[in-house]
Amino acid sequence: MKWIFLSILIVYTVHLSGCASTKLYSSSLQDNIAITTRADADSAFSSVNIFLDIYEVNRACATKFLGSVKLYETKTLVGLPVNKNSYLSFRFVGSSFLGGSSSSTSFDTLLKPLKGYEYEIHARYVKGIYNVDILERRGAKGRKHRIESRELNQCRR
Amino acid sequence: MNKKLSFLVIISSFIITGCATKMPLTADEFRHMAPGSFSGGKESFEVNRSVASIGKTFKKMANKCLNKRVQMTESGYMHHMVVVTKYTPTVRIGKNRAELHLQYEHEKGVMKIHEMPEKGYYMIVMDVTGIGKSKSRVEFYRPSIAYKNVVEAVRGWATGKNIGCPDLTK
Repeated sequence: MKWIFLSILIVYTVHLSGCASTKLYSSSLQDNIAITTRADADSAFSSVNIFLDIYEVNRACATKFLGSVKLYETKTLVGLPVNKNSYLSFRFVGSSFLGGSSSSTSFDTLLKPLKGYEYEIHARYVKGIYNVDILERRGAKGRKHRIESRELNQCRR
Repeated sequence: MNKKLSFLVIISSFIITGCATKMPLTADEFRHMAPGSFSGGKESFEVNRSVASIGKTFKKMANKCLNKRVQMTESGYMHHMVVVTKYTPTVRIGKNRAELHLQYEHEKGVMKIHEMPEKGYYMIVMDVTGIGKSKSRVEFYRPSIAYKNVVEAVRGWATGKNIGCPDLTK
């Protein structure tokens, strides 16, 4: 009986840790992106979580997945390479407590952080409408201005 | 969520046509049929924005937010359901006029029971006409029961307030 219990425990642990092995983004680069979020589901029986998937982009505009970051309302700092395109995919993942259903929609953009610049990103999902604002400023005291999202096929520009 | 989707698709298929055998096949037919149907409606309002400015927002947001293929899954006791839906926006800019159409087609998981236009069934048609240098009149033909977030988002593109993308899985 003890062995059966242990086997179940091991399988369960492997299932939880191994099968749900989303690669987390990590880098030794200096943080140059600050991200805040707001996520309000449209009912008390559902929730929305926001994740950021980060991809490296090569000269041919091909992407390589580097990892994910779970985002919270409080500021999350991320370091992206400067003067080089990264592809960012903000995933809004909704789940229902009652129906066992889940859904996901995303906002994708290229971002090429410049040397000496700082970036603020606000990702928002409120009552089924989402938006991602990207603000850029030179240094800590520069004037913030909004930059437009860019599609992957614009990576050579 | 998908149960809701399937329910709405079936109900709207019957109700928007008044239980007739035909769904709107053109934007013009949709303009005529939506206001009198149970699950559709029409609203008119004026905004302090030029047609050119609204058309620019349509172009930018429609491609970014509405040109999508969405997959929804639901699993439960003895059932697993997958619905794949392709959404196609059309933006038309003319002299003193801008139009936004949204059509959808269920590629998987929902049976087609009506004849369908080339890019899918019509969900939304918004017509904008300039009535001043920076003033426009909006005629909005849209669903009245489902897709509230889509209606809200597109309304925001016309008014310029709360501009965002609707989550098409809702």
